[in-house]
Amino acid sequence: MSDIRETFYVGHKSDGTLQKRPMSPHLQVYKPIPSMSLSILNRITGAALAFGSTLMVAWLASAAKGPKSFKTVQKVTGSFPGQVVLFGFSASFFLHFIRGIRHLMWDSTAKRLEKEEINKDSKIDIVGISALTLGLWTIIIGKRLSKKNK
Amino acid sequence: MRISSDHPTVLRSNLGRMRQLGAGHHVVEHWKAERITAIGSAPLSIWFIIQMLRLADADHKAVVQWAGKPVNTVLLLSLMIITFHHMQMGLQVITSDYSRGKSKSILDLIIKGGTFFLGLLSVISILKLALAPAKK
Repeated sequence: MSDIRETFYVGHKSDGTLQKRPMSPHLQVYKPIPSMSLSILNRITGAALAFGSTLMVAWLASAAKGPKSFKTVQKVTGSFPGQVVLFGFSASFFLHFIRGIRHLMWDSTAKRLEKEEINKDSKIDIVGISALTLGLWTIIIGKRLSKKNK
Repeated sequence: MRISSDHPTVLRSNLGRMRQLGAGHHVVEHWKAERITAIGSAPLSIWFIIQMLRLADADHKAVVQWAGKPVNTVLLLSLMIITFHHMQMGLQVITSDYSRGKSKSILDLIIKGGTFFLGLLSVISILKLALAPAKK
């Protein structure tokens, strides 16, 4: 026994033999709803942003090292896979950003915590996250297209 | 309020405390620091995204010039320090949910070491970029 909590899982059958009792149902049992999905995604994007931040460090470190390494990093971030990663990075950031603000609002006001309100606000958040992400990439692609036309 | 000496003030056995069961008594500080670093990094991150949009296709010289401006240097340093502090705490919350005992301690050390190393690397890079930029 490695965990003290496991003592609570020990039960007896009617013939007296010991049996491990079932644990409470977990994630896969429940129907996903906006608040739940965003809560899980908030954690996943948090971890993803940790990975993304290493890209920021790589960008900074290469710039500090010199023009040559900076160009290499620019080549990687400018490539198609690099752009896909950056898109994911930005989408993760906006989700974590919007949901972070939502958490700060919950913590500071203790309002909008009813089940219906939480799900309603979560839908608003999804719209906000999508708008910010798509807005950012519209600007990026727009800038690139206008440069090409010059 | 006076509590007589024979009255137990802590309802936890010494064995349990030795095994590090129960609350660690710095949960509130951790919780608070997580929120405060979130408040700090939110506007800084938005600033960084806007700067990245401006510097999208900039060459090395332009980036050096940009990072060399004192306000930019300070904002960059603040962003990276606050971000890595927030990251360390956030990752620690995840490990404490999914691991326990020895593996949790080891994971937390890896997280603390990793975030410290990367944070320090970014700080040194920013300082080098701002104060003594490489020419070649």
